[in-house]
Amino acid sequence: MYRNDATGPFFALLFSVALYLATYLDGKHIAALHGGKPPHEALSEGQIGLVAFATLFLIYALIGFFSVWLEGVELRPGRHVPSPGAAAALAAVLLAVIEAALGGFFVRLMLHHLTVEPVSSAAQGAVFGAMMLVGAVLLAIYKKYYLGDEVLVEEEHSEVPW
Amino acid sequence: MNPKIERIEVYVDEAKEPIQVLTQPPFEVELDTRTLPDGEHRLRIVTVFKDGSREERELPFEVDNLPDAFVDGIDEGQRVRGQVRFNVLVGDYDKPKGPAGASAWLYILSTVLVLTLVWVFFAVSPTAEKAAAQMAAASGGAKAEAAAPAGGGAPVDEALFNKGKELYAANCASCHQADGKGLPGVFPALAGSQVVADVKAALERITKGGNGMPAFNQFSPEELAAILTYIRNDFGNHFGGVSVDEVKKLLGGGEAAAPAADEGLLAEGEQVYMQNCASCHQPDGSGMAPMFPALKGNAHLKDAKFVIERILKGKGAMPSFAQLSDRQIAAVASFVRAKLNDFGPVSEDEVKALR
Repeated sequence: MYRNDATGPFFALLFSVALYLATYLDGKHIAALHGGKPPHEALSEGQIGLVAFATLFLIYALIGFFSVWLEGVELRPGRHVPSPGAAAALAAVLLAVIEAALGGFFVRLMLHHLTVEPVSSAAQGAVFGAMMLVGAVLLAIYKKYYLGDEVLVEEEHSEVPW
Repeated sequence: MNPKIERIEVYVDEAKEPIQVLTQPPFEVELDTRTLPDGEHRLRIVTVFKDGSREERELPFEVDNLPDAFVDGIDEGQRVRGQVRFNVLVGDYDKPKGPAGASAWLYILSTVLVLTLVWVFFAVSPTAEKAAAQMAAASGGAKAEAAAPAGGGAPVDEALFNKGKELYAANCASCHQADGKGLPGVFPALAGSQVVADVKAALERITKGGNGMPAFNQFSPEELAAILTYIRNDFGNHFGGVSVDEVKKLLGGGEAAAPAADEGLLAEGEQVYMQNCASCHQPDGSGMAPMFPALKGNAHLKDAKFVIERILKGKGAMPSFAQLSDRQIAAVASFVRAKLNDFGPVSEDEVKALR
């Protein structure tokens, strides 16, 4: 039977937090070895490795939780008609406005960077990342509250080999 | 309409009478499927032409006005107990197909209009420009803080920058490349480099080498300041200028900050030098390699003790000049250190202590 369990994502989140903590402690240890002052490099190679796996687990956890939120723990056969309430509509409108505002501001920031004074990559990335995040939440709201679903039941031994 | 057509008759299944006869366009047929039982049916469209000929077209279709009830919430064979809630879903042909009210185009147009206005406001308004400037200032400030932890980014001296550009082209560009991007995996990029951002680290890397780079200790503090100013403010870097004093302070650990040499002492030192040293080390201190080492641009002279001891005791081909007075030795040592190089002067007391 199909199960969309939150157990896997929960442990992925736990590992992720543990790895981020290990990265932080590693940084503190490195700084201590340099007499309290951190070295020039922002992250050591070891820290980059830890952060990479921590981020991997975090993304896995987020995908898992999103999936549980969108589809529920167990799929029920049948046609599921969405029922968007006022809250979902309000959230979608607000997020759409924020998305448009961020898009416009990102263009302004780029022009400022090219014509007036440099803007750090981190600041540019933060605005762009916010745009992407808001876009993702908008898509999730659309899927959850506005997109109909139909779950079909197949024979247990279908032609699909898996 | 084709002028040869007389009429079009529409039949359902095997009926003898047509449900509709069409004689002129539009040939629109209305069929109430509720009058038909659920299941397979056949539509026959007969076109009758004026010359009496007929053409028949058949179209099978299926009526499904009463679909089976679908139960949502309880599965077949599922074991249940207590009170159970489930939904029974049945197709309803009387239900309107879409939402009534304003047309979809109106919704789409108004949404696009509102979002475009918001976008334009944030793209061109002075408020947005102000916010962008604040963000740039905040990120620039953070960069400067990270760039010059040892003393803050000084303003960029144009003369030093230009001199640094020449020195860079002559000494550094062969490895780090003219655009400061280096050769990946071989020579590190200076553009956006954290080492370049830190004045002390960059100075140490130039004078002492490291990470595969040889030491370049032939540069004077002014030249080092020029190179640092250049590499910290070109290739897209904005780490601020570096002054000669800052370099001296970092190089000598305070030695260069010693009081400036007494002009009288230096003049006396020049005299002593011309009488005793210039014949070998040459009047301009350039020496005669390999026999007589150059004193100009010689990093060993940074150590005052080394200079005094070499004058007092000599070494190898160089004889001892212990016959000179403390004042004369201090004068000539100050001359070679401060005039031929950028190191500080030497006092009589220092000579006396080492004699």
